[in-house]
Amino acid sequence: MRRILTVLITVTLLCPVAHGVAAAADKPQEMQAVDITRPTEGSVALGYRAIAPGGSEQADEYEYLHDAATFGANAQLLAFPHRFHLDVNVRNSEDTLGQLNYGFRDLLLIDAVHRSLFHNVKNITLEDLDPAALDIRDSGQDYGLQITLDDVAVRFNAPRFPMHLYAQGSRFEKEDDRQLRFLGGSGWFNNATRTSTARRIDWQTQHYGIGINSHLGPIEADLSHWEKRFDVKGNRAFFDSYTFKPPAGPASPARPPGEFPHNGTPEFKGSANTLKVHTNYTGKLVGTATLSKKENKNEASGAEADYFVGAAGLTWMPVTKLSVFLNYRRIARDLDNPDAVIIRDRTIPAITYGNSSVRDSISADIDTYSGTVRYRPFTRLTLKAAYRFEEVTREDTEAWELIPDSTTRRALTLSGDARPAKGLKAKIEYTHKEVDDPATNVEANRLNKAKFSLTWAPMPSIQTLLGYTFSREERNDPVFADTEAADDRDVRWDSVLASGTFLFSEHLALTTSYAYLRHKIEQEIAYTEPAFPFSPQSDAGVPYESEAHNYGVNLHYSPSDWLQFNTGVSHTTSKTDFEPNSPDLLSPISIASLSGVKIKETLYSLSGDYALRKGLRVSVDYEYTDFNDVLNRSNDDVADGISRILWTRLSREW
Amino acid sequence: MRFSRLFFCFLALFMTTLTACETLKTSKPIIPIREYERMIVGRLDADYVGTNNCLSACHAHDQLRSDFDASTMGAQLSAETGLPLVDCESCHGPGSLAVQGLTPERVAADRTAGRETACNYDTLIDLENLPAGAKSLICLKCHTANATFTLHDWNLGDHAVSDVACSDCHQVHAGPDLSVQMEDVSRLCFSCHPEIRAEFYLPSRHPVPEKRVVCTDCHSAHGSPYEKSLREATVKETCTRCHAEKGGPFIFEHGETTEDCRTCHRPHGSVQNNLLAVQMPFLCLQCHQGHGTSSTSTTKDRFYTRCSDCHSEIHGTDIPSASGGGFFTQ
Repeated sequence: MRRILTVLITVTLLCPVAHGVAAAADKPQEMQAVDITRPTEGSVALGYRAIAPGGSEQADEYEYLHDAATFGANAQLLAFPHRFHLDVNVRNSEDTLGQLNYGFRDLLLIDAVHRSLFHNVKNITLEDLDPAALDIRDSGQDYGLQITLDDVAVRFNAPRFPMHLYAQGSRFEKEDDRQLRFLGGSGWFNNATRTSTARRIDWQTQHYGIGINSHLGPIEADLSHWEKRFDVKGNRAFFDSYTFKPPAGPASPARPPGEFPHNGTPEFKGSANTLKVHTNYTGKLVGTATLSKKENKNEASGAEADYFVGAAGLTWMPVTKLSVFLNYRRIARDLDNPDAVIIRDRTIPAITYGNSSVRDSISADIDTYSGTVRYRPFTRLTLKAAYRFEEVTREDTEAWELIPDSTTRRALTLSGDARPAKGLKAKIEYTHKEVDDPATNVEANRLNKAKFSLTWAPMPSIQTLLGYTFSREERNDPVFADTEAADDRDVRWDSVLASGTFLFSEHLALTTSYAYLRHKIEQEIAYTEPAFPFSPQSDAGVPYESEAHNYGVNLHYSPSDWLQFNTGVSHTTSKTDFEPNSPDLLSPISIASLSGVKIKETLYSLSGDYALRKGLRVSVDYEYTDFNDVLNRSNDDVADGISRILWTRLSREW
Repeated sequence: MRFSRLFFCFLALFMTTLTACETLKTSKPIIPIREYERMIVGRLDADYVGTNNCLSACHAHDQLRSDFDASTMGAQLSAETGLPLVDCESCHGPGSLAVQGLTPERVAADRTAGRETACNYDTLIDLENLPAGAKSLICLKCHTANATFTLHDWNLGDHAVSDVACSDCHQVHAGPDLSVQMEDVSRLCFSCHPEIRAEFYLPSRHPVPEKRVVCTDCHSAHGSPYEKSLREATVKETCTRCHAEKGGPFIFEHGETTEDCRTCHRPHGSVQNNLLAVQMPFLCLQCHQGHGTSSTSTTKDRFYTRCSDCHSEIHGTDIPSASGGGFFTQ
């Protein structure tokens, strides 16, 4: 593939030369006389952002919790033939956004985006009825990650015909400390010591690629080559002293005490070659095809994953009222992991443990066929019917008890989109899906989903939306390693949306919204009793529910062109809970009490903007967030927090 | 033998490419959509008069003209490409009837009288009421000729199938930069996908409201051959563009579940921490038997709080557990 790529790029590179020679024989074209004078437009903003956090950082999950001077700039410059657009927004040293676009005639385009943010991550307190089974090494430590995303794309256009050479790159970087929770002691039930410590992270993911595309007669083709790297600095692996692990059956031999590695982060390397071909976009018949071969390798263990992706599509519009869309996609996944692994003691290599018959990872071929018919009997009505068939054929499943050799999925979707009157739009959609041999208990055998939305603007000053989505899933008899559930698993999803925007005058606008989301599951769960580890007990019909309500109000008031106010409140309540029935799971404490969540989050915002003379503008934003952990459990992953942010800015526009 | 085969391939490609060069500027559709073509060609009894004639009298649209000149579709476009410069009549159709009878004197007189001189807009293409496909065709005619590969999957994409036109996202009169800027992407997407917006109100979410992650980081607005218009072929590949440490391959894989991250995570937002679809331990108990416990056991908080406290490498690992098996504890 690489050889073909090299040849094709070389040949295609010769095209402009060949074509240029041919064009030279023709009458030379007159260069277009261009006289563009456009003043530079832009703005600069300076400000100060003060943050007053209190309690948990969850009220400010993505805020760097330090006061800082802020800077913003926007500039659009046209000094023909150069075109330049820069947008920069710096909230603090850790939270920035920059976007740069540069164009030289239509020959060169450069797009670059830089983003960074800070992610506050919680230090979760481990608790146990038996404190001896805990090892807390990071008490009181604050965690957070500095995240950087950079993207750059450069595109050259051949001067005499549409052929592009392009290069793209992206970089994703995570740096700083976060918590690592792991199983210490012996790493087994005889001495299960839950441990928490700090993990130094310095990870960098890079994607970069080059490509070429052009017309090739009736079709257009694009060929690209990509490389991917995941590099690890910081802690690649931890080492801890583990105590003796006793034998527990033939598949679980004893492990000697020793200082063994754990929680390793290997480096990965990958590459991809992709060919895309399509016909002209504008015909009644349009064909597309994508072929891609990807290779990924674990640099530490040598495990490999190869993917072949092939996709083809055809659009056919016999008459404009009727369109047919056909798709085929094949993803072939080939995983190859080592058959054996031996882990050695850090100081005495003779002390080892490992696995001489590692289960093969699961390779699979996934073929997906889909077709959609769109029919528009009237201008104001569109009907669609879509059918999708997917077949997953797996290899190496012998050692995986719960994973079937194949899974077949069929889905039919019918939808309608109507505009019965001016300002009124209704959408309705129904999906039925059948799955044979689902891949996991989480996947349903049957799914029925209905979706309805109504958008109504009775007059230009009023816009309303009402939406409801309902989904019901059923899974026949979920299976576990040593037992099968007697009852089906039922899942229900509900989502309600309502919003209204009211323009009371050209100066005053009010927006209100409400959203309700619910996820409800009822299924049998299985557990074992210590005395009978291979005879699982069942707890039938255990309900699980997750629910959230969001209410929002926003008021915008602009008494004049030079003065604007905006204020809003957003309140979200969310909770999640499940209710086991078995006495084993309810005493001495209910296992449900260890994991329930109930959160109330309220955000108040107020902003004002006042235009002074000569393009000067003053803006003030204030946000107050109250994150309320209603249950106040000390060992969960939520906690009360308050945040106040005041941001003042002075800007000048040209 | 090997050299001959390579030479033959090289020659075949070279000849094909050279032949193709002859048709480079005439990328023609397979059977044009005549009904749409008629809609976007404008009045046949009107003539093209050029942007200068359109604007010389009233100057009301001078800013728009300046924006277009400054864009890559305007004066930036080299005449050598053979591609048409984009001006008013490229989209609105021939304008002679619209400006018929308009003179600088009449415009000046109207202005003195406090009136705006209106063109005869009815003679131009009724862009607002065109079907989405026809509206997009106006843009695609040039963008196919210029081999715009971001549109490779446009025709089969969810947006095109659902009658979304280019101009629904790209505001062609907003300024010289027609691409959607990073700060505007999510607001634009949420205007049609409010149900997804609602998920970003939940306590655990990607930093989309903060505008540091945007919808197009994962989804291609121009269509893709993959599920949910994802930019990558699989969900796993999409997620591991940023979360590469979880991507593998590993010696011990978590069955097949990590191939689709949605088995355990909700990518837009969740009530549960870490975007989990369901709170642990119920998340894991959906597929796995719980550890040994009884009504007298005091180990419930150890085994039934967060399974990942011990199974901390649940996305895959190269290091076996204490038993030698792949239980993701090390």
